[in-house]
Amino acid sequence: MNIFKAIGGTYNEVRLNPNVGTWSFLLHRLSGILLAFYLFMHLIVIATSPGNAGAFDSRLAAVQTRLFHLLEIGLVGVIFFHMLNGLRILVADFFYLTRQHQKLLWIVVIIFIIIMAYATAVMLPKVFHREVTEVAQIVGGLR
Amino acid sequence: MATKPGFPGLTSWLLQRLTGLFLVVGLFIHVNVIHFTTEARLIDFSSVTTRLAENPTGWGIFYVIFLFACIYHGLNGIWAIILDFKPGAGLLRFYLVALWLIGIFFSAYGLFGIFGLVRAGA
Repeated sequence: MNIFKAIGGTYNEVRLNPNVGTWSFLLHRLSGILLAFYLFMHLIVIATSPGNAGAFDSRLAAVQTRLFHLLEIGLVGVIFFHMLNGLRILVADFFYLTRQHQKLLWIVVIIFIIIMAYATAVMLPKVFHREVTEVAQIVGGLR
Repeated sequence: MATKPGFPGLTSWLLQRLTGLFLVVGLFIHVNVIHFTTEARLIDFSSVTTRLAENPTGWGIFYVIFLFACIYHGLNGIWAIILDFKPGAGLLRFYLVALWLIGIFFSAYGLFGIFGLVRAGA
């Protein structure tokens, strides 16, 4: 298996069949690869030194910056897209709704938008959030 | 071939869907606890172990099943992608062994993390 051939083949598939099914297939695969990669990074961060509070906190602090909080919104988006599209595949498989897959995709899109609106509303403040102590330091520095 | 009873591809196809269904429930719980609640404001050792200490058995069982479901679903998904590109027999065996090793390593690593955090909260 040549990776360039694989990418070329996928590109041709999208070019020759640029329909909704092909795009959802491609996005499902890409989001799946991203999530598998994230899973292992996540395990390394969480499961290293689980019995040492100081080491655990310093490791977590490194991934709780504003940038990471912003990326977390993207992560939740990738998770819910993959989840909802996966459910669409499952429903089409088990309930013989393959011919309705385009309609099912629009239902996925609507539910995805609702979930992401909620997720953004809840998670975006964290991106701009400043700890009380941090604000106090800034105010103290201005005086 | 797909209709032959016990065909391994059918088992992994079905398990991919069953683990996927479990992950729908599991991820709603996990994402809600970590990202959508107040605990998410600052996640640290204290907040994690305090939550786990509220129901160590329940959280422990949940996270062990969640871990195995995530790893199986992720690696089996990658395996399906590899199969789509029809690699040669030697390369296929290499990928299979590599995926098994990755799965065993991260399962052990994840269990170490789960039991460590649950024990720390107890």
